[in-house]
Amino acid sequence: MKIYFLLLAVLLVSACSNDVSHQAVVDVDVVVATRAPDYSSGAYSVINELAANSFMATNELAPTSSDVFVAAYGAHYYFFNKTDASVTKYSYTDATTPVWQFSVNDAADTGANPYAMIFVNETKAYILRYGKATAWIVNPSATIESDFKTGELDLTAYDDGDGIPEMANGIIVGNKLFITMQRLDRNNFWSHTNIVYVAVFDVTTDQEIDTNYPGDAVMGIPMEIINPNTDIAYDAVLNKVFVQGQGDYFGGNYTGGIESIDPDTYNTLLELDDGDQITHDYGFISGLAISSATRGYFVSYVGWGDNYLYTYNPATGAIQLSTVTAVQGINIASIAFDANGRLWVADATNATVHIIDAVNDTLIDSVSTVLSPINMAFAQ
Amino acid sequence: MIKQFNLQFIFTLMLLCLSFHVVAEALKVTIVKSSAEHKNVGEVELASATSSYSVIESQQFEEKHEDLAKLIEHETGVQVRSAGGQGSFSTVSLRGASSEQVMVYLDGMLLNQASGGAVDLSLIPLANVERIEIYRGTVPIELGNASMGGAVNIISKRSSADNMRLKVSLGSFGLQSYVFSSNTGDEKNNFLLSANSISSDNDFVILNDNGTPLNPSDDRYEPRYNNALLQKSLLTKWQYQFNQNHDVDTRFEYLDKKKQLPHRQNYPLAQASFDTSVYDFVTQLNNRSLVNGSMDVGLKIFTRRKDELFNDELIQIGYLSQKVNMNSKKNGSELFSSAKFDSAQLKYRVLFEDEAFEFEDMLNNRAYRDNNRRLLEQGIEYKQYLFNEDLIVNASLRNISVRDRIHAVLDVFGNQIDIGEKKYSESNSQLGAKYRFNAQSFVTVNFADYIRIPSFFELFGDLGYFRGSPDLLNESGFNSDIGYAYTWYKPGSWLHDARFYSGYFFNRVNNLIVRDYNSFGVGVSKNIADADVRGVEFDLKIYPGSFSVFFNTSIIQSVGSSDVLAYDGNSLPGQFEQDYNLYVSYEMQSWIFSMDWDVKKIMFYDRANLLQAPDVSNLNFSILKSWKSSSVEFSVKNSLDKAFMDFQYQPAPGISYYLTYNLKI
Repeated sequence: MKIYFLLLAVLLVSACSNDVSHQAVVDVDVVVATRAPDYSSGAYSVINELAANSFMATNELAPTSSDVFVAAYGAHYYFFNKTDASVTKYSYTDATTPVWQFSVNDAADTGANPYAMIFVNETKAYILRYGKATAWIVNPSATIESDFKTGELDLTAYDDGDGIPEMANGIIVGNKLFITMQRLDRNNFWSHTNIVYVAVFDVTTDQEIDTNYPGDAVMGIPMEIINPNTDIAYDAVLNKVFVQGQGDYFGGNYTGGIESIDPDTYNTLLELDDGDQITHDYGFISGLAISSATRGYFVSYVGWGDNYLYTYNPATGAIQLSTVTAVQGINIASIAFDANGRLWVADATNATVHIIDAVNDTLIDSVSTVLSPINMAFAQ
Repeated sequence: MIKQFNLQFIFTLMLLCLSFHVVAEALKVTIVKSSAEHKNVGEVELASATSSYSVIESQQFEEKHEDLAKLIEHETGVQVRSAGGQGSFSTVSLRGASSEQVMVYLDGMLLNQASGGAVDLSLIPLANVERIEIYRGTVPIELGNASMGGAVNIISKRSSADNMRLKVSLGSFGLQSYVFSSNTGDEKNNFLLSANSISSDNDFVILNDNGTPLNPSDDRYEPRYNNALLQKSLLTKWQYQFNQNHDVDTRFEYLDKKKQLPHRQNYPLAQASFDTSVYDFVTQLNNRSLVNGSMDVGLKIFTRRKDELFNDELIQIGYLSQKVNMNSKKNGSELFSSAKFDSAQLKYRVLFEDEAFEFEDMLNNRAYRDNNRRLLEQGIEYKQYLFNEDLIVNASLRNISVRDRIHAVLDVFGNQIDIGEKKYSESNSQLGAKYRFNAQSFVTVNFADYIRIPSFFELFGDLGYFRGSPDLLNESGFNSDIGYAYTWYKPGSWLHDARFYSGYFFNRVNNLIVRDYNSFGVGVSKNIADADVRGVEFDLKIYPGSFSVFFNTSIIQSVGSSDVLAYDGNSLPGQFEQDYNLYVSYEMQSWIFSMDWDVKKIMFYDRANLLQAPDVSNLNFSILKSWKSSSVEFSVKNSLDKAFMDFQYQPAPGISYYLTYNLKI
């Protein structure tokens, strides 16, 4: 009788798909923020690597409203709700029990709209607040809310006239924090008419560094690209910070691309120009991920739900359409490399995350997230 | 500021109504008191209708403080969602259909707009209502442009016997409501003038979780900010009787509503607002007993203008600065004829509507005009009476032809939106039967197929953030139901009156239009889901002694099917699966003590069924004391002080108290 029960258990386990919902979740490897396609709700998925290149997802965790994203550092990940301006901390060893949940609005304020969390260490991080002119300095290890916020970075100098600079993303290189600011005009339907800046802060003093651009009234780095709305990356070999800019895709103006910054001299270089209204081989550049000096990918936005993935060699600028057909002609929400150099692609058309071997540009696995994936964060 | 205007308006209207009545009384030659309600040709003949329906007469609410949404949600199969507080956005759903699929009519004129969205019931003052007819499932041929969600037909106040009425309600959260009406008439003319004003601070206490529902330490109780209402309306009606068979009925109605919009997180400095003004004009010529008394013909001409101003300049409830003016203008005419033969009846209706929609961005001085929908609908119904009229069978056919047009405009990003014109024609059919077993019981069965034409918003998008989808298919549906009704009437008996209804329905909807967004928040409408909705309804009304006991329930099961994994197999959002209503009243001499209890269970806010709304248990009490020509009512709403939320992040008021004085001269 015991054998039959064992056999039955084995059969049941083997019959399970790689999509399991609402079981106790431990040993999380990847967290994926997700949303319903109609934006009526959001949640997150956790994906475990059961064996090499074999993945299983647990989906629809912590349901909430839809505008969500995740960030991660160390043994924890942070689930943000942009509309509620809240952040919830979880441990990778227990994805269902929050460590804490705090607001990223000041008291009696609203509209912070957090966009990114960039970590210095376990006790210091920066939260970029798209809806405000100040970013928060926070202690992720705080246990009570009053200890969470420890300071602010003032970016009011970059206000484009609508009260906010639209800080979007950031990265720490050495002791420097680089913050991209879209500077869209929210009084005119988010028109893309203002110069993009990257502000640089010293993470030990939290003081802004003057990049000494001649003729500029602010201390930051003026960029050529417009609308850096998703990704920023750094490669140590090339010693370059790469910034993605989608350009004015609403207005149909190709003013974006990939622009690099020398973190020491602050000089910029337009690595990839997205073209113009007549010639634009890769559409609008809507995503970027770089894993080494010679290996990266970018997303080409041709139209609604019609995106394409390209391989990109940051050192040489060589570009090739990815051979992975599953990621072509879909809505690619984001791309990111994990620590093993595999590229994760959030496929919002099919509610799936694809994992790609970036060395061979081949598909490893595809995992259903049930809801449309937004972005990924990896355990460290 | 709101209260100051309110008082001025009230006193002005008091004077106006009083003057009107005095002058009208002085001018008339003879006084004719009409006991029968005047009905226009083309109004539904309820006695022979096979549709499942409910009727609410004005006597049920005219002495009480009520609003339209809260009134009708006690009816079988009706669910209402309100955004929270007096005058807040309120929509109706019937038998699990979405509010966009439910057609709402005012005197037979469709209120649903081509631009899109559900009808906001808060724009219809109950003081101007004579009767409400609710058709679940199938819709009588008298109502045009019907859809799969059923219909709510609101009949405006009728001119009746000479009287003046004054009604004053005061209540919690600064509620003040004033209604004045004057009816007068003579042999040929009947006049009605009704004015009402309602204002409320809507500053009920809510629990603000600070956007951190898992962290109660930062929660706080505070009043709902920026939620005040001021609404005024004026209704004038004139009915002129040429002779016994020919009359004209004309209505003019004006409504002005100023509503503040609270922030999702109850930001105290929010100043956003949504103001609406509506002008309605309808005139109908009725010709009865033509062709040897067998034919009635009605010709209706109508025009409606609605102006809406949404102001969020300070970017407090949205993500960008907006001050937009939206105007819709609808003009139309309808011809209805009904011919009776020996044991049959033939009805024919033709409706023409022209609706234009304009949008003006007042911050950037940009205007977008010439969205236009022209509609021609014809409907024909044949009704056969058999077996001494014990059996009624009716078959009907509708054909609708639509031409939508959007002229070339620039969107907010400077892109030219292509000229769009879309023409289409659809037909749908309906079959119904009603069999009367005896004087007390009957059974009805109905089958119908319907469409819902996509709105301008769904077809053509907005000005950049939502793309058009001109190839969008119509939503299509098949409705069916069977019901049994039994009535008991034995005057003098302890249980002198009882009515019972039980029914089952099954609806299938195809090509449901759902919004889909890419990762940058740009949306598009798509036909990406189908759904089966089935349910049972039960309605019991008994009158034991001095008691009245009403109980109804509606149990709905909806299952969606979609290629989108997140939606497949889920319940449709926005509908409670279980709805129970209990009403008990006791009449003792000139007192009426009543309570009503509304229980609703299992509703999801979202299509992915991840966010479940709190169940509803709403218990209300009322005491009414009547005298010969006046009454006073004291009522307690939501006496259990529960926290409801029909729409996510839009809490409803807790316990509230109201005092209403009603005088009829």
